[in-house]
Amino acid sequence: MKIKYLFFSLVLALLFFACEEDIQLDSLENKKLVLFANFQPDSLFKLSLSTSIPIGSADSLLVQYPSDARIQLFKDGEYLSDFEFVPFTRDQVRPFYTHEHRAEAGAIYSIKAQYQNYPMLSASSTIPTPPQLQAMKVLEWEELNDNTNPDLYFYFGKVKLPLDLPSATTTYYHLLVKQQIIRYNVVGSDTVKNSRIVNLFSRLPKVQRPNLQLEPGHLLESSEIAADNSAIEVDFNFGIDRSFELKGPIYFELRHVTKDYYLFHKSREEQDLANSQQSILYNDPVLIHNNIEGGIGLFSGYQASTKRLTW
Amino acid sequence: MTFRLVLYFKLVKNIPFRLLIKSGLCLLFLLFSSTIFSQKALKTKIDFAVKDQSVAAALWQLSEASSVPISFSDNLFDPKLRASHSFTDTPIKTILESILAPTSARFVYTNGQVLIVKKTIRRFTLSGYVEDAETGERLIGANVLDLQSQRGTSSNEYGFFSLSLPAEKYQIQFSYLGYRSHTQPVDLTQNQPIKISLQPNLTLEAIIVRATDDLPSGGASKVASEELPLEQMDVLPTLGGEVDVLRSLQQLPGVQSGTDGIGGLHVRGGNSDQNLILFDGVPVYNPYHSLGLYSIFDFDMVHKVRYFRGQFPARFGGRVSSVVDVRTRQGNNRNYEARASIGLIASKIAVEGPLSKNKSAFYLSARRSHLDPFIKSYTKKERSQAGETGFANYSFGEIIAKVDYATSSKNHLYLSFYKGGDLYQNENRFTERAGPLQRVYEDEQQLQWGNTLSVLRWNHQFNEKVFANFTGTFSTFNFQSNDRFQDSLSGNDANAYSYFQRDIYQSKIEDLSAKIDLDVVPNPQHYLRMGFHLTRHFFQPGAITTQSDDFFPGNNLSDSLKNINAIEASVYLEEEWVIHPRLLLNAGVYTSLFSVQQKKYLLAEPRLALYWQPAKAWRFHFSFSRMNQYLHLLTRSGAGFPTDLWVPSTAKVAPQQALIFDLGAKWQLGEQWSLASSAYHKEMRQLISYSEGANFNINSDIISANNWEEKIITGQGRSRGIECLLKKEKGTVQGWLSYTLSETNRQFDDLNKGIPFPFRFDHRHVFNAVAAWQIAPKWQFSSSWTYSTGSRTNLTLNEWEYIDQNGNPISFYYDFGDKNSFQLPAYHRLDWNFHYQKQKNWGSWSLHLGVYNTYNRRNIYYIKTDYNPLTDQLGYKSVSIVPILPYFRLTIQL
Repeated sequence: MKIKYLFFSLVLALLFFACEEDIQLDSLENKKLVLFANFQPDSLFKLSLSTSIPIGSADSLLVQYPSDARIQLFKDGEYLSDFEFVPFTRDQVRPFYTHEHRAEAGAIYSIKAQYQNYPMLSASSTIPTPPQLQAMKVLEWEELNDNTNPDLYFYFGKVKLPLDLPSATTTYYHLLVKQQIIRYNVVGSDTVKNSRIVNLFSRLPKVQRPNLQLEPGHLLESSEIAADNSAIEVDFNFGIDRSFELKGPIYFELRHVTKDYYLFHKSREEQDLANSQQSILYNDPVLIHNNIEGGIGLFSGYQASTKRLTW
Repeated sequence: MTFRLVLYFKLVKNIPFRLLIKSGLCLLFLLFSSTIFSQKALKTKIDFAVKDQSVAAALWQLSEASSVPISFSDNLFDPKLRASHSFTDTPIKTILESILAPTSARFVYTNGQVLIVKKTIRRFTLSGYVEDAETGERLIGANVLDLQSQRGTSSNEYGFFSLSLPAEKYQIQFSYLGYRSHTQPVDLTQNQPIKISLQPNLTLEAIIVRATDDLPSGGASKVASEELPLEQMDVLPTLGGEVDVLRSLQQLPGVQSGTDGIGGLHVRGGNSDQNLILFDGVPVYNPYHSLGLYSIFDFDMVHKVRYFRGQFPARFGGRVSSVVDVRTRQGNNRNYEARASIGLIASKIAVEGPLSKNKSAFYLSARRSHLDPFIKSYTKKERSQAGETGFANYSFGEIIAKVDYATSSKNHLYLSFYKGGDLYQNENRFTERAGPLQRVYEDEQQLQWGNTLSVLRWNHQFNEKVFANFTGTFSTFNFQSNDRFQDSLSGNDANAYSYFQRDIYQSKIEDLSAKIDLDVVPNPQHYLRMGFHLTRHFFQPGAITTQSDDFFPGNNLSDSLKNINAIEASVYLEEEWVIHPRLLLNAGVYTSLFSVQQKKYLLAEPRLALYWQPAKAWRFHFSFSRMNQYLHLLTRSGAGFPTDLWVPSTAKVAPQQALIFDLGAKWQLGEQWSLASSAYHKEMRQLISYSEGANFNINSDIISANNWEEKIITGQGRSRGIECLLKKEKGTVQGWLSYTLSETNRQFDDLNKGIPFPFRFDHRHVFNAVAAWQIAPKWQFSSSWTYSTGSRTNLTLNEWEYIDQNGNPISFYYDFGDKNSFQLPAYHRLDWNFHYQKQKNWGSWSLHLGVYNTYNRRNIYYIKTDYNPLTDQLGYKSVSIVPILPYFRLTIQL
């Protein structure tokens, strides 16, 4: 046979070898353990452990919260002891594990977790240096009454939080601003108060230019947050109904966090955003950062400084 | 006093330099101390005869006979050359002239003696243009070869060549792919301008005659590039009957793409923004229609396509992965021609002809897709069945106009204009009634994007060795989105409302550029290219205007991303040096200065390529290139959407860089077959990516996108691979088999825990088989099969619950595992095409009939989540876009 026919036949023959292939979902990863633990100096270690669930069934009933997992704690590579399981409590919606050891700044903490046939989890982290949150300054404050509802009041404020951010290295901060709102109702002649905290917003600034952007959340309507290396200006507004609410103090908590902490929460926020934007079909999915080997979650230390502002 | 001296020494290389100096000084002493003869001595008539003697011996005898000292070196003469003379009463001068006539030596009479020296070899330059005999179009890369010495050159981008040779008679061969070779006798006694017209090879239509790329006549720029054989492309299977330059590139080794071309070209693991796509020398930012299904280059207007992926001559810069140099047709300056074709997807027409015969020509062409009436009708019907009115529609098209004018034999002006774009429309209206209430809903969306290019070029030939090209260009890429939304409720005063909103988003890039390129050809051993480019970039990454009659006047806004101006200046120097007839070096440096936001980047890019051809059938090459790129494409999908933003390097975002090493060999297997193989290693630095989850979405995030620099991270990439190409270039069956084995990954400190991950288009194995069979003089059959390992993405079957540190459940999130950990099924498809061509008295017509994706392979374009309400389960659904697609194309040429 002439070589030209052989060459041509080769191309045609490929037709018969070609075949269809389907997506093999079995090859995807199996269920994993999910672990969260944030720790700060002088506080007890506390972590939550759960299992992942199949997609499309975001039903908390399917989530397992193992009570008999073995979770070991190590300090600077030295085994301390195992965590203990604490079942559901009145204040704790999810069960958790705790450890009697109080975290110390500067130490490297590691954990290992083992549960049934799940892959073993391991993670390590440390506590960063304390953040330097200076005395804040109120720049603006205004109270406005809604004409249509005499009990509805809006408050507009702006504060300046002086920060002492290091300039040489990249560090990560988490700023949480919380407004305490005290609900009350009159039962007979008694007034019953239920204090609650409303998160005004939660920001994860990354020096030198804190990456501040709006986040959907209750009571936070709009603000332009100015930022530079030495201070963060935070302006915000919120409203209360005086017929059953009283305004309490505002707490400004600045956390110096690890890079893992920052990346985890930042990417988590972004997956929230991406999930709400279904229009861009071909976009890359948002992967949430985690520092748990063999599983999902976050094990990270932090150190906070809090200021209280009473209006 | 007479002084008789015959100096007879050998100038051999192993004589020490000091000895040579001493000999020279002795010679000078003797010369000056000798008796001064007058010129009359050579007029002395003597009798002289020699028979079958060497030239040296004849001179020796003449010196004896005439008493005139004659000095010479015997290596001046060919030892095989014999002298036989007989003179009677003849002047010594005449005898000398006769003896030396067949040699390359001449004599000088000075200080009473005759010195025999080598004749000064006078070199002259043959320069001019190679053009198509029928259209007058200049031919790019035509070979010009002296058949005896095998010295040669090739024509440049404007058909100009320059070949300096000693003053002799030559047989110069001019050859060009698809044309009959022409051999021109040349008596080179002076600098000689020439214009050569080559006849298209009509007798072997569409059968490719391989142009020689042997060294040195091939020149580095030819051996470094892949040249797409346009004639062959015309008969190969296509998508919808549209022959496409950039799609054809995907069948070459090292070039990868997304599904059916969507997502652009990814050359040797590079991103799609790393390809320098040149349209007549002007960079094009978005060279695609239909998200990458088609390029903006209508095949009929393409004159030449050259493609560089491993060895980059220094004259190219600005991108780090590849160069695709597309030159369009100049126009027929001899006869009027018209061409029209209709295919499944698009129709086109082209007209060209002389404005002034042999001096000036015009070229006009237009192409437009014509599926829109069908798309509109189908979507209208579909929506009607759903109780709605409205439609969706899509079209693309372009026009090109070119004029050229040869003001003199050394000056040529070219003016070209291109405008093309895509239009997508989506309109949806419905009316709902409930008792007295009536709701009217209207939603209109229109997306438009496209390129506009204007080029003015002046070719000037300073002399036979220096050719210059001056170019001024203005190019823009525009994207505009226009959304209008209206919703109203009437019939009940209490609940009535009316809401209107209009959002206009637009982004734009403008380049204003001036270039000077010089080709200097001092001799056949050296080819110098140098140039200076200056470009002003203007980036308007995005601007949005929103109008509404909402209750909140604050919703009427107009905002834009920060416009950025940048200046890019570059100079290059490139030398092509034929060190030895079998060894060629192309070396140079491209240096650029980029000024943006008070920040200046000054970067040099050394380039080096060495070609060695130890035997006729073998050629090896090694090259090293450093490349920089000041432009970046911000994309979240890699799908080639027009919404992707081009942004420049800034004070915070450094330029991309690449180091490319390439080692390869080519083996000519007889007359018909050749096998080429290359191994490459490519390191890419300062690649950008959105930080995990950072998003840019038109309309909603326009303001936050202002800080895009804060949302990106930089990392690096690495690609390495082996490419093989087996070609059959002659005979009734031609084609090639190509295989690429490669591995490409990316590494970003803040992505995937800093662990390297596979590139989205890391196709480990890519195989292409292409064959064209000349069944009969008018019939051709061709087929191609493509296979590549699947692209990478992320899928998950898992969700997990985030529990905050107070033990409160917050929300559920998806677990996608490691970055790009899921591999899509392999991509493969088989296409075939029949081509029939018939010559008529009035012109010709041709017909293409073919099938794309013959066995209807469902190649996955993307995967979307699919919720099944019956099982309350979420799964995945793959979406394929091009099923089996029969097509036709009818072309008529007058």
